[in-house]
Amino acid sequence: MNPSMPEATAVAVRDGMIVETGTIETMQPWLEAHSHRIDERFSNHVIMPGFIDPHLHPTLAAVLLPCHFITALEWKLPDRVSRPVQGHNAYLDRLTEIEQSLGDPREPLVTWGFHKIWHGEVDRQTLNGVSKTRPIIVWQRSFHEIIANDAAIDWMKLNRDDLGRHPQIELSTGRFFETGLSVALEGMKDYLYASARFRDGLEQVKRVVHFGGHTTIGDMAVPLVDLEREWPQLLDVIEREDTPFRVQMIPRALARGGSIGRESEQLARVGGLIDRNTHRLQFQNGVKLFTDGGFYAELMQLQEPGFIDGHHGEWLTPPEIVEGLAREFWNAGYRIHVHCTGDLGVELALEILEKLQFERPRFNHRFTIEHFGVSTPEQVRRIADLGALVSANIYYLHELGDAYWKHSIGFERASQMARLGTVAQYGIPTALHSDFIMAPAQPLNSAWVAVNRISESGAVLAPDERLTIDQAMRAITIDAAYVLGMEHEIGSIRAGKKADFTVLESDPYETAPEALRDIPIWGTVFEGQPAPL
Amino acid sequence: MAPANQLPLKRVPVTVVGGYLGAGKTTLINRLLADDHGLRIAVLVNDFGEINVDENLIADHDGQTLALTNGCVCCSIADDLGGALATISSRAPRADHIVLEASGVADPGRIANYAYGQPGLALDGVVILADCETVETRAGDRFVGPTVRRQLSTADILLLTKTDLVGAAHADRTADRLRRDHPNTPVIRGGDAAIRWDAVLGVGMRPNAFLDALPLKEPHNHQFATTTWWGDDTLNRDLFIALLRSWSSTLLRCKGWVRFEDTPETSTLVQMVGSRVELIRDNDSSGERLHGLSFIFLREALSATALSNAMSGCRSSELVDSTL
Repeated sequence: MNPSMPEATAVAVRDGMIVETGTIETMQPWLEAHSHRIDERFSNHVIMPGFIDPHLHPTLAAVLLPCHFITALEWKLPDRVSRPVQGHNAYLDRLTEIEQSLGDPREPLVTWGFHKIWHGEVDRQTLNGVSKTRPIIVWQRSFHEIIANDAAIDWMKLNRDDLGRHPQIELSTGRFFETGLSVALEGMKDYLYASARFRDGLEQVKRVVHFGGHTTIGDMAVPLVDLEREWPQLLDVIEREDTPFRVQMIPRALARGGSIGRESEQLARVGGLIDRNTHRLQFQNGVKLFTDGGFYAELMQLQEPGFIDGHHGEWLTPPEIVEGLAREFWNAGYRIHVHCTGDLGVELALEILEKLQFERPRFNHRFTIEHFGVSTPEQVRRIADLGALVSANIYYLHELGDAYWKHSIGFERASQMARLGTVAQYGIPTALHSDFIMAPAQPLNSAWVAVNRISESGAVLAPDERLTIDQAMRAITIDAAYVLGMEHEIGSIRAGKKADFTVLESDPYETAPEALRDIPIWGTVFEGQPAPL
Repeated sequence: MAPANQLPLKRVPVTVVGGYLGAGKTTLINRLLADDHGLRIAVLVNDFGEINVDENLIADHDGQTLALTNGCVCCSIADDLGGALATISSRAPRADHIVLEASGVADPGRIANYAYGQPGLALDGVVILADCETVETRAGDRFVGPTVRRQLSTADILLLTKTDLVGAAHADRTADRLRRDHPNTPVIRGGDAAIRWDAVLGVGMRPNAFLDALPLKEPHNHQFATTTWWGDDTLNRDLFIALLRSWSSTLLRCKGWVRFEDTPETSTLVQMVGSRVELIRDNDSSGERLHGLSFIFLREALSATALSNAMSGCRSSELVDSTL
């Protein structure tokens, strides 16, 4: 991914760093000067710069990965493949199969991935039909709802009289949604956050990250809940010799409450985190802000004409507080990442950035629009004008393109979600991310969506917004490094960079675009150390 | 006088206090914690750092919870409302009333659902603060307009704040517009200093107190007047509800016991907070109960005679023996 030398057949590595790239012949001066060993194990492979996902959530994934996945779309995980399960009966068959495979009859069965568009109506009685005695909890794909059987309601130690009064709990169907979900989570939390389970989840996350071919990831909102509880576990699991990747930790700009006039406290808190840095877990100068609500939950803030059903999105942080914090961190020289899912969220981020540029202009600030679900073409131009970057969850288009076209915002805007072709046209550096566990943590899969824009049903949505293979490969390597402010260290194969590689069985540039996601990954090299899958 | 009966619902009432940033929620909560109201009030706030009470009042401070010498506690929500409510509910002695601060961008209706459904709690009402200086601008703002308008429309009671910071004409104009846009919601006016909790929380109106010690003490604020109505006659449910609704822009609260002609053998607890009316039948009908209602009206709104006449109009046509 170094345009000055697009291809090479040899790379010389010393102490985890690349000292020369080229051919055996061109690197002779180095080879003559130093004792060396030529390793030809990858002579039939393609070595790419190590893949980078600048935005995922290892700690959230650690809570969810130990769940049993039953998903409408295929999810490839290191220890299992969650085959696509579509249709009501297929869903129940799979659930029953899992139920029967569990040894301990008291062990709760928590499954994730359910969506009624694909799996039909599942309620308490349906789940009682699967088991009367084992607690079964079906966690929706969007995380905003669970369905419980009678054994689970008892297991959560919930009082049925109280549940019956709750407007967002339907005892008859066993559905707990929105605020009702928090009642259920309260009953589940000792189980979900138990230290052994969380640790097992983190070990799984570690395998998932390696499995996708990553050598660097960004943890794009630290902490999940409580840093003092999460940090020791992260150190134990990630800061180990067998971990073939590093994590840039991007703290939340706003921790618990916090309000206008007290931004300096947040700046001081964030500034202090850097003292924790270890080899693999690094705080740098990035910080995370949130504007509008979740995309899967349809809580993004939209400009007119909004949602088909007329509902409104929501702000995760009051706009004035976003602005106050953005100003504090901007003036302190931070790299600001802003979660924006809808075009009104993007608009807010750009309004703020424009004010900040007026007050105190900065070059090379790396202000990044994160997620980039719904946007307008004019906003893309402003992003370019203001020097901002885009880090997109392109998987929205694949999984939700059809559903949001038919049920949420209509074809025009749904088909143009994550309009990366326009972004590329304006030359805006762009990363692809998974927001794992919102999308599979597989950069080749994200790149596949970006170059094909194939929806779940197989339709090609807004073909003009497709990326070229080169643009997509940059978005998971050098441009992703740029978004994390690490392009001087990683993201391409050149002298002086870390010896991080993703080793593929075939060349993405020689692969048909539709087959991009099927390229087998041999494994990775992290700082010179091979790590086969 | 008949002995006071237990409430049919022994749940702690929760008042949700909402409103956009800068509407005065924290000022209100600081006053509540410091005021001498004789109640154990638990306050759940988003940001602990804003709470400002006299250090002499602090009995204990353990990070998430601040206990005061007057029996009040303040608990930080810290992204876990369910957990904070559970913490407060498990404290002994039990709080008399819980005040729940909705964050500036929250939909208070959703927050109210927590209170409604949480074990051991009952929703009292939703009080939304509207800042005279900015509410109209914000209601029209492209980013927060829909959020602010939704908050205002969720209110059972609208409380206009910072009236002392703008001219009287400005305050009048804002109040008029709020009344026009929310015709069924009482709009209380007050500078920060004039806000009294007895009206907002219905202090002194809890049915037990109501039956034990009549007459009610007068609310402290000159804007409100308390009126009491007594009657053992059965009422026509539809006429009564229609009457309450007709007063909804000026009647702040109404609480007490009545009997309806369709269920003459049991008493019904009436609980009205602004635009919210709840009728709860008493499952335990043993013992006699005194029937009557106490009202807090905006002062100028109603005379005692008019109240009595209006209530007479709700009597059931069929005469029912009052000793039933």
